[in-house]
Amino acid sequence: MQENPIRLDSSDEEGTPSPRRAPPTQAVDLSSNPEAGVVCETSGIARKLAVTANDLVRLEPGSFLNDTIIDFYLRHVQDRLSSATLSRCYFYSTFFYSKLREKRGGEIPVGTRLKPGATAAECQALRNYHKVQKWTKDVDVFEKDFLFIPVHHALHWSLMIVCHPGCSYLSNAATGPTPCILHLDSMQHGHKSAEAAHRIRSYLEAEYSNRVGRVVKQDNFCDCGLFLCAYAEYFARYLPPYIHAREAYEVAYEYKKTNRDLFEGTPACYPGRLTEHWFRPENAGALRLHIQKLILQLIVEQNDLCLGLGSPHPLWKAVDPRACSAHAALEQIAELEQVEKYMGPEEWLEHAGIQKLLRQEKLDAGTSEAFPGTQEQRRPLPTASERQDVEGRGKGAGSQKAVPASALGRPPVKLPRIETASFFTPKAPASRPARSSSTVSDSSEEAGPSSGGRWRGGSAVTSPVQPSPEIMPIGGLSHPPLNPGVKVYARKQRSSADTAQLFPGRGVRVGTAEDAARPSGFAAQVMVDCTEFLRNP
Amino acid sequence: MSDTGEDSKANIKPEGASDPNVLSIKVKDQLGGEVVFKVKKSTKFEKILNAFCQKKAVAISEVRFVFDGTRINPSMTPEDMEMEDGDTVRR
Repeated sequence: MQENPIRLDSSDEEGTPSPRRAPPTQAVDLSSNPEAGVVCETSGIARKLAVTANDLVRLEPGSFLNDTIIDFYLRHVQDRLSSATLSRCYFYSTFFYSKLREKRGGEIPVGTRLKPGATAAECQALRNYHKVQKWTKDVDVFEKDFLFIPVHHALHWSLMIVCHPGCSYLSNAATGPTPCILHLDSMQHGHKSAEAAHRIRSYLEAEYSNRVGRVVKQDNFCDCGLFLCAYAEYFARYLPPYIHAREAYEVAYEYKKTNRDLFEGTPACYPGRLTEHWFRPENAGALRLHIQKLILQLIVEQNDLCLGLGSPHPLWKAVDPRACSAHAALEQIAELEQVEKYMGPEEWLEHAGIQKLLRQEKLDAGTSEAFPGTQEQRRPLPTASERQDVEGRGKGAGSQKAVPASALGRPPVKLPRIETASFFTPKAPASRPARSSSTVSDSSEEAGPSSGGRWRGGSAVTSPVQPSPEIMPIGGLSHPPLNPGVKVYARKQRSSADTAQLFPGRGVRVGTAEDAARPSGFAAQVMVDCTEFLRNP
Repeated sequence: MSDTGEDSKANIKPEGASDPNVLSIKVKDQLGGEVVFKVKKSTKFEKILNAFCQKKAVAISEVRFVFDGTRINPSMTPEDMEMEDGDTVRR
């Protein structure tokens, strides 16, 4: 639909305002003009973001966050990163995933060879790719270590972190970076990881997906956007040197038994990272106030309303009524923050360490099942009295959690949550080795011998549920039997010919002879040299 | 759960023009409709976006405008965004 160009030049000098437009000076008047443009800036012209009073309303208790607030906080997180850390990360905008998800629109450039018999979905995926192709023209995402992708769909927010997209896939390595996708979803049945990962993967043509299923979860219906922000901040502020897919998986699923962290014993260790003990759920709730405060402070700064926060000039309120609303709101927030204040990753670090120690004490005192490797030193199962003791404390922690966060002062150290059910599942120890070996044997041929031993004992506690046929175990991984209710998805194997036809000339490397020599689990993997993808589009 | 409050997005497409200081900028919406604006490089986007929203009868707070994946700030100009003659953006 082509129309005649509309000329705007004639009225340029006069600057006749349209009725909808509001001069920027009215920006702070929060009540009367909700559409006023309140501009809160971070550095760099291209990264400027306008936050309006309409967006501020989204931070009221119980309301859903919108894309502007998420973008704002992600930029705030980026601003606080050191340049070295920032250079390892890339944050996509909140629209990115929605673009990849679109069901229509877009075009495929002339001359693109399509795979014969490509489905409509595959063609649309290619169109969607060309919609966002230029978004990353100034950055080579395959030189980055971590790509942060906010996912929005069906009124819910979650975060995907693509780790090491430029690394080649060498799953035999017991440690070191492997390409994988972490999906951090704060809701139990939130987004479908497999679908989301598939879209990201067909964008990246990366090879590998992993779901970390047990991160901190939200305990209400409205905080998912805040959890996204908190995940991103906690992950980025203490950026891990690398993510190894199997290690991350193991830590997340075995944490309450082993209490072992990623990079345990090194300076890179952050207690509870990528597990349900990463931060407290109430903390993400308190992020609401924190973002409100940040935005209000920017409003005050950028509109020259600042006469000293906390002790405003006595005359000043009378002079500028606009400032009243901003400062009154700030004072109110300061009051509320005395009850529950957001703790960033730096402030939380010490508490996290203490909690970890407490959990360790519990583990040492309660059961030795957590350390399957030391079977000789295994103590007898806890007596009934011991069990009651620990369960009682566990219940105490649970009931404490049930009290709304706003009614509680911040407890200095919260009791660790004990999930008694999994600790004391009444299973005969004698049957354990046989069962674990049978469940692991299916996939143990794919894994190196070094990885097998650590898994078996820990896996015995969980019930031996086999994945249903359409859910494949993660390729090349020997993982413990799945807990009921936890699904692990892996990529459906796609042949290299398909990839080459769908994305012609994108540096697709078919598996080499060395790959073929590996056990059968690996030979089917398509090797895609991601570093050349997108660099020579 | 959450909500973006986003109804439609639009891409902005600068195209070649005879005067180096004048750009024609295409604003596309999600349904494929587009409106072409001829503007100076120093014109603020606010003006363009307001005109577009009036034409399409939508509230400006309910739409987001994106150029090359970057959100467009109403107080910026095509010059700030480094839009150039002959620069084309695909949806």
